[in-house]
Amino acid sequence: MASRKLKNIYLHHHYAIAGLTENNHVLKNVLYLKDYYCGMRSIEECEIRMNEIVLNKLISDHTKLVIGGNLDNQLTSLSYALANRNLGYLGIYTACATFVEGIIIGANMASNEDIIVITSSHNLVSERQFKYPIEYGSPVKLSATFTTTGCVGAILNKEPSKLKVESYTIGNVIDYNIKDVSNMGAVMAPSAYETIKKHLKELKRDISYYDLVLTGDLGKYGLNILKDMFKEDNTNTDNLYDAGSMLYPNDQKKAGGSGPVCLPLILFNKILCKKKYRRILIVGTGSLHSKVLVDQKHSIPSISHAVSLEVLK
Amino acid sequence: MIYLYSFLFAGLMCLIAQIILDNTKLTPGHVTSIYTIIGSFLAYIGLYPKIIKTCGAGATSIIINFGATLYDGAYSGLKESGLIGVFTGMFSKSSAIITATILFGVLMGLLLNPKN
Repeated sequence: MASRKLKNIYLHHHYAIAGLTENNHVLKNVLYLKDYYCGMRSIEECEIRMNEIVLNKLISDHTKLVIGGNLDNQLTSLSYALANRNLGYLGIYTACATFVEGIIIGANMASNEDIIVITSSHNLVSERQFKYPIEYGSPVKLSATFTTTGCVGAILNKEPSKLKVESYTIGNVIDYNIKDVSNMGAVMAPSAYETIKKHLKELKRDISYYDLVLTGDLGKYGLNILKDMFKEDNTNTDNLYDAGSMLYPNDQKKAGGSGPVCLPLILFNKILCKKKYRRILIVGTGSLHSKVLVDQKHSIPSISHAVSLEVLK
Repeated sequence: MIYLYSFLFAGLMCLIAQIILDNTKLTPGHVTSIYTIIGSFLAYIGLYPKIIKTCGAGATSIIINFGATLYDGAYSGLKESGLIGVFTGMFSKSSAIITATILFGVLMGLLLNPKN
């Protein structure tokens, strides 16, 4: 079964870095970068540096394993940051669902020793990776989301804390035959819908069980598509929010943020700071395309994973 | 009058390019290629030299002129030394454009870093 309830798995303290575009009073307790290079020679080195800073803050004598990934080729920014550190490493990739996948894998391996779940993304690196390099000057459509620059890591183990990982659902790969790279919300909304439905069905819950259902990076337009899909089965979506569309509230030219770092940034540095919600379902949404296959006119598959979190008093 | 025509012609071409970019999936690379081909075609039917005469720098400074010079070079090559002249002459008149593009590209790459 793709869904499972967990016992005694907890998320502990985390550390977050964000880029300069994200410095707009939405996030709290974040270290902001001053430019896209943070003192390094290239944008790729900057992402490696961000991973190193977060790892240095989180690694202790109890750390035994690092699980994480990002949007680069061969997950380089994390692999390079971990070189010669004497730590186990599992590199994972489901695009923007990477952080949630990391929690699921970590929860199944957790013990009393620390597991670090980490993810990062860099706007200029992923523009080069998935669309065009920034030097090319390709115009951006209004439906396109803006890859968030940042890096977030969190510690997972069996020692009790205030944030419990209660259950999870592993998603399926969904392909609705959408080929537009500038409309990732439409690509990922169906998979978020399927995963939330699957989670609620397999754990026999209603959507109102959760105080908040937080999707990863659908953006404004993707969130509307998801709400419309739920409206068709008469499901109430008042508690449904999207992390990506919260990130740039004053920027009308962006459909929202995207990237694996979007969901943990909003979760740890905005939602949990408010201490308003008790049961939270986080749904990481990832689009599993490569530029090569999109250029060969293939459609874009997507995947979503869900993790249910409980904030304890 | 040539200043006005120059402004209007180059402005109109840029407007069309912007409309294409905003409403289609084409990238700047596609649009410049399309404009180059249009330029060669206009030179082939003999229209572009007339446009240059009325619009001056407005016609010579845009990418369409690159297509026209490609055609000019290839045609004069053909007249001088036959079919092989098409290949040797193609870039003869546009070599300044290509060299300048590469040189300034390298220079900017050395001097500046891309920002958002």
